[in-house]
Amino acid sequence: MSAIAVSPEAAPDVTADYVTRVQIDRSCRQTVLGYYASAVAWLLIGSLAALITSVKMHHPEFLGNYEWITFGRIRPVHLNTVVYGWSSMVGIGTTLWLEARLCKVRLPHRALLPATVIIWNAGVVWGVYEVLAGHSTGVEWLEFPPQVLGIFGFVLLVLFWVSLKMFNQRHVHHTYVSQWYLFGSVVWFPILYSAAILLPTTGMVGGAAWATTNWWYAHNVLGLYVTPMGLATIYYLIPKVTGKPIYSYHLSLLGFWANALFYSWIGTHHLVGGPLPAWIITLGIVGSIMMFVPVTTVAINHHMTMIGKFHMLKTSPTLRFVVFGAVSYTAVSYQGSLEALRSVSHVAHFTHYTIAHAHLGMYSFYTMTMFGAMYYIVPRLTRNEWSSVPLIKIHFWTTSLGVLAYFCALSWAGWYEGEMMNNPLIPFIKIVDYTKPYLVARSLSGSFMTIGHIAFAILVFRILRSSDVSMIGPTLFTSKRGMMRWRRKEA
Amino acid sequence: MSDRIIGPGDSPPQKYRVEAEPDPAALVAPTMREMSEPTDGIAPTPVWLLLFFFVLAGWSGYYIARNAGGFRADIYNEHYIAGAAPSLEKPAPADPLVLGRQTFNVCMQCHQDTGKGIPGTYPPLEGSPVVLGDPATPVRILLHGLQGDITIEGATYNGQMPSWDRFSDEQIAAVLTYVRQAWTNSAHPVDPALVAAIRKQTGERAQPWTWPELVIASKTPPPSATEPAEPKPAKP
Repeated sequence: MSAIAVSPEAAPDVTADYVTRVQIDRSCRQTVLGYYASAVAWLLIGSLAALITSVKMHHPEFLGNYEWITFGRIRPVHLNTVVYGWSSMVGIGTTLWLEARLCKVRLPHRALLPATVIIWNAGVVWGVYEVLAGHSTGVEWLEFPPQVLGIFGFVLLVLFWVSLKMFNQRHVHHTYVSQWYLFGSVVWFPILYSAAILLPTTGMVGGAAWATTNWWYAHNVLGLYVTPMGLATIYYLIPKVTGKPIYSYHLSLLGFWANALFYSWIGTHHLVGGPLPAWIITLGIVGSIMMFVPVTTVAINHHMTMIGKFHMLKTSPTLRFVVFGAVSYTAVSYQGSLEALRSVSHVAHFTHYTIAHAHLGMYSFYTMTMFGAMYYIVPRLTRNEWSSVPLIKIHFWTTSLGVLAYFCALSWAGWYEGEMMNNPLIPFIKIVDYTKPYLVARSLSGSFMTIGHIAFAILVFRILRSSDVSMIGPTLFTSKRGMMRWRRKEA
Repeated sequence: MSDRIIGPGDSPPQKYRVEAEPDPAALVAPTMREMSEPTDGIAPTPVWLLLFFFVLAGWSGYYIARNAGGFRADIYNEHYIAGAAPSLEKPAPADPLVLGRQTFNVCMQCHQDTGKGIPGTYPPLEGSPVVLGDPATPVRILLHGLQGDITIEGATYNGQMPSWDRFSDEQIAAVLTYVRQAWTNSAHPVDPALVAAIRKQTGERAQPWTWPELVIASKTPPPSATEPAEPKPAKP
């Protein structure tokens, strides 16, 4: 697609940085495409695992004879493939490309970096095998064997080194906001990941303190690893596609540092009512509420940048996915802040409501943003165009409507489930019966999203495989492939 | 806003409204047709936003002051107020009917929500003389389980009743109180002290009861439930 193209308001920058950009994109090509292709493969595997899990929620006998895909194994496989397979790999690929672009340097270590794709994949494959074989650690978000730390940790250190190197050699004076977020995630995640594995395995924390460490990790993965990568992408692509500068440097600063300051507190809001000293949970709640600061700031910044450019959502797939992600970021963050309150957590926690919230964050915000990023970046790396407008349309509408239906069904079911579970006079089986139709709705909306993923995988497969020189110009929503309506309109 | 742009060192400030017709060659390569790298505007932070943040910070201070338990590692209750003596009073006893209804969720899987059981397998609880009679017998059944045939009002049942001795005395008394008063049943509540006494008396037992054994056990004098350590109000 390449969203951008020429809009009536702005002319493309065809001379100044063109050569630099071509060189940078060429240096990124192998590594980033490797990460992207693997990510899409893990997305398909993760979707399959998700569907099996989801069907088992309302038809427990489904595939019940296969020990390897019993609920307790296939559910962590879904979580870990989408987190460490899809989200991490698409995020790392985007991070490397964005950093190279923002520093205006070519990607260093071009022999080592493609190897990290294989190494990271090997880590995920090994972890998935162990979980399927029944050797899960049973610790949420860290079901893979602790030894995987050696594999992921190595790649993360390489990433840190490469990011540092590019930043030191940068050919720009001004450090753009995306760069801060990317650097944040590259620094924070290795610390989080190694601490969450090393503290319990060395016996430094146990019992309730282990649970605290684990939720500290599991929530910081979202806020200090996934969110920075997603926001960096949004901060880069909205101005890049619309041609407008980001609204306010001051708001960017405030949003970044407030996120850095408050996010690492908030994991303990998952332990409301748990056996922890009251102040730990109270600080978790306060941190969650204070997240209104960065979220509101980022929301204003993105919205004010988009103002006057909303018509481009009709044409640009990148922009449409990315803005969908940006709006979801605001929604999921406000919802998350409120969910942390003791009174809300009392009802909503340990129900499907939390699951809906998690998917609003990981899917509606992060995954949709990354789809947008891939729509923008892959044509630059392959120097091909996306082959089919209808497939992009199918991808957008199935995933966006799918995740909205998913969110609405599970939020509704989850809230009433929580209210009923707080009433001891309602037998548990009645609550299960009540949620069943909504669980079926989840399977249906999940199937919808999976159809979108398959359409996307076909698009990615084609653009990687073939080089159709007859395709000239970007693939936009409004144009049939090969017919550039937006240009005729201009003429 | 679009005309206020910070000029980064490497690219001078530029206007984004360019009149020139785009070069058709720019449309060929994706890399060629894109905008220059993003820049920042310098719109100031709105005052109302800062005020909103101060309100949030004020609320946070208030919330921490009220709910942090004095930052003590041994205070788990957020309502603890610094300086007050740690509360030693026990929580109010649970209403046996509510606790019993809650506990009954596990019984319901066999004896059914209606208390009518499954013919031939799980005996009914509604109207059953075993349930409504001497409470010592159902207490014994709950503590150690029951195996073999049992005949209730002419019908025989052969299901296996598991032991529920992991439930507390209060919980066993509560669920029996609930069962003895649910549906059309109407019998006296069961005292947790009776459960404690029977648990002590039959503590050695490893096997589930059989019905003939229970008949013999019910003829032995009931354990001295008259001297409970602290009387628990178990009224409905």
